[in-house]
This record gives sequence, structure tokens and C-alpha cells, in this order.
Amino acid sequence: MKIRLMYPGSNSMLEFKLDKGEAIKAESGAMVGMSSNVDVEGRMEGGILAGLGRALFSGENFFFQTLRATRGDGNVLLAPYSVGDVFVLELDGTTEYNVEKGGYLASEESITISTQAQNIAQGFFSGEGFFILKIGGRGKVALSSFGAIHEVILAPGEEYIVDNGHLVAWPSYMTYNIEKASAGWISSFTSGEGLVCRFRGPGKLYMQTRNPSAFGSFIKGLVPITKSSSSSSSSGGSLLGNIIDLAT
Amino acid sequence: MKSRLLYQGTNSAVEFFLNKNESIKAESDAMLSMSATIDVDGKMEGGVFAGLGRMLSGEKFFFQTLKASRGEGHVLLAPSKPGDICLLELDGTTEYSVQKDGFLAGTDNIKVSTQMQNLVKGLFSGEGFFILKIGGVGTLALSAFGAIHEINLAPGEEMIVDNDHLVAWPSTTSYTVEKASAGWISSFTSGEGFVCRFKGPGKIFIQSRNINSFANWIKGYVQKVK
Repeated sequence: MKIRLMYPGSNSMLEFKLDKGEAIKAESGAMVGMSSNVDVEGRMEGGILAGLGRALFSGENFFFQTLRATRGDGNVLLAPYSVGDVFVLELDGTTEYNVEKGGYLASEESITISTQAQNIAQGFFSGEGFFILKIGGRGKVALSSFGAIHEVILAPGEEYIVDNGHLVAWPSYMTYNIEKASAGWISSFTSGEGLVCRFRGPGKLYMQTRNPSAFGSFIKGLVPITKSSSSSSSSGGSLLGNIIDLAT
Repeated sequence: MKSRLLYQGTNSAVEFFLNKNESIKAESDAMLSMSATIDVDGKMEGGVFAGLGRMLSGEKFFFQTLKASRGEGHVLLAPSKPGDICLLELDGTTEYSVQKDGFLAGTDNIKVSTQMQNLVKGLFSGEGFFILKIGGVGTLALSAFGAIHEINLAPGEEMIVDNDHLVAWPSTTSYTVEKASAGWISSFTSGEGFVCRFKGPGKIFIQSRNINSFANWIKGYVQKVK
């Protein structure tokens, strides 16, 4: 299997070249195009299903698909739904990674994926059922980000603070605490940062240069959420028009 | 007429250099800036548009014409979405079918008409799926949500493309709409739903982002902050 990253940056897309019989797992809806030798299988894997069930009860959706080159060699093009970069992480079987749920794009078949609820953090993460993916095994994993992906390497004992909206992935063995951004409650919120994660090295952190919540509130004022707008679809199908249609 | 691409990638724009009396057609509201010698005309083209496009589909599709009436000048155009622009030179032999958000601009002798895709309309999940048919001779500017990726299909070669990622394809290249997977359930649990199966020869232009998926994703973050 070969992987090629195209259009790196905001418009990134991945091409997987599969030999006959090879398969990849991908986030639901991520397929852009593929050879006619490739088959789409929507079924969820046995072990993961249980975890998915729990995830569904907590109001989260997470589906995979499997794309398999059943009838011969073939290509698959995959892209994330957010505007941002894609990064291929190579796992050697010794380190598991925790991945924020929007951060997973695809992986080789040998990679194992399970869901994990972060109960302690749940309350802190502003009412969002904060469930994450745990990714292990040996092989390649493609992560996606909103904006660029930035890597930070922490030395043993080194501490580092990351805004929770910017987290993409971190090694499962790393511990982190959730805390106020500032010493005082008021300045934590007037600063706009609210709660942050304090990580402790050693380890490699991946974060994204844009924050979906911040972007959401930035465009919120431009996207009036009214029922009446759904009847007349916007002219030219503009970006905001589509958002309006879907939001109603 | 000359044209050039600026800031290729997410923030692309295109600049057209017009001699006196030359004109271009452009998507409504695409003008970013222009010389004072250029006049904007909002009128829609001849008979083709009057009826078909809007009345049948309930969709709106407007052009503007930008004409260098009072001397040479230039026009800067940009699409409404973040993404790339691709310039195609049409020689009059190939017509392209273009998904309605994919048209940005064309020079004088580019012909644009609307076409209903009745057969697939229902399948395309309730979206009034109407497309543009673009031919003639000149430069055509296509715009995409994300990058524009070109796929060259050899004669007889087949390729499957997610319908939301389609930008343009030659009108002579045939395609069928089908379920993404053999079974109905897996077609939907896979998240792919319907796809288009193209058969070469032909050059197909696709975009690396899907506006519906993006909207669905950002929706959660827009509604949450009330």
C-alpha cells in the first residue's frame, strides 16, 4: 500500500494505492473518488461495535467504512470534511494514540480503533460529550485537522498547555490535567481561553491551528438560523447558503 | 484576452485583462475589483436562461457581464467559497457539464446553458440537481471547494466519484448513478450514499472538499453557541 498526500494545506487530499485484497478503514463519507476495483463496505467491526453502541447512547456518531480492492489493484481518494491539513502517523505497535473524534481520517487495516469516553473531562468540555478514539497497532494512520497540524515534542517532565479546542492527538500514556487558563476564574473567561489541558512529557502532541468552536461563533452571526430560509435555497449555492439549509 | 491565476489554493482569485469592448461573463457577485473603464451588466443571457433554469428547478442562476466599454481594463474575480480556480481553454470541440457552483467566469465566446438532470434528480437526495452545459471557444474559469483534482480516464476505464465532489466532466463522458456499496444498508452506514460511475475516455474535474459534509460538521459549532 502506498499513500500520497496531495494539495497539502487547507485542501489536502490523500491517495491510497491498494494492491488486490488490501483494504483501508476510513471515516464515514470521506471517499472522494475510487477505482471501480474498490468496494465500499459499511459494516462496523465486531469489537468496535460495542464501543460504538455506547458512543451512540451518549449522542455521538462515529461510523467507519472499509474500502477494499476486491477485484484488483486500485486507488482511493480520501478527504476530510473540515478545511485543513492531513498528516500520516506511523505507529510501530508500542505507542497508542488518543485522537479527538474529528481528527481521524483513515488507517491501514492492521490499525485497531476503539472508542473511549473521557468521563472526568466530560463535564469540563462545555457539555459536549467528549469521547475520543484510541488508536493502536502497527501501520499508518491519517489524521486530519482544522487548519494546519502542528507537532510539539515534550522532553521528560516538561509541561505544556494546550487549548482544548486545538487538540488533535496525543500518546495514550501521557497524562494531562484540565485546568483554568488563568489563576483566577474571571480572567480565565475574560481572556477567552476558558479551560485548557496541561500535558506532561515525554511525548509528541499534535494540535490544529484553528478551533472549530471559535470559527462557529465567528460565522454564527452571518448564518441566521431561521426556518423560513429553508424554502428558498440560496442563489448560486453559496457556502453560507448551504449551511443555512442544513442548519434549519 | 489574457488571464492569470492569483494566490492559487484556498484563496485563489483570477484576473482578466480586457481590450476595449471585450467582455466576460461571471458568476453573480464574483467581482472583487475592476478598472473604471469596465461596465457591469446584470442581465441574463438570451432565451436559454429565461425559462428553463429557474422555473423548473426553483434554483437561481444569474450571470453578470463585465464589459470594457470605455477602454481596456482588468477585472479581478473570486469565488464565494474557499478553494481553487482552474482555467480551461475550450476549442469548440468539447462541451463540459459543470455542477452549478463550479462556474466562475468565461470569456465572450464561451456559451453557457442550463440543463436539468431529470433522471438522477430524485437520487441526488432532494437537491434540485441542475447543471450547466458549457461550450464555445475561449477561457473558462472553474471554481472548487478545496483543491481541483483532474482525472484522465483512458477509453473504457471506470472511476467512481462521490457526487458532492464533482465539478465538471465532458458532456460526452457517460456516467451512471449508483449506490456506493452493493447493499442499501452499507451504502448509508458507509456515509457515501450515492456515487457516480464514469466511463472513459474523458477528463473529470473533482474538488477535494464536500460542502454538505463541511456544513454538517460546522453546524454543530454554530448552533451550540447561542
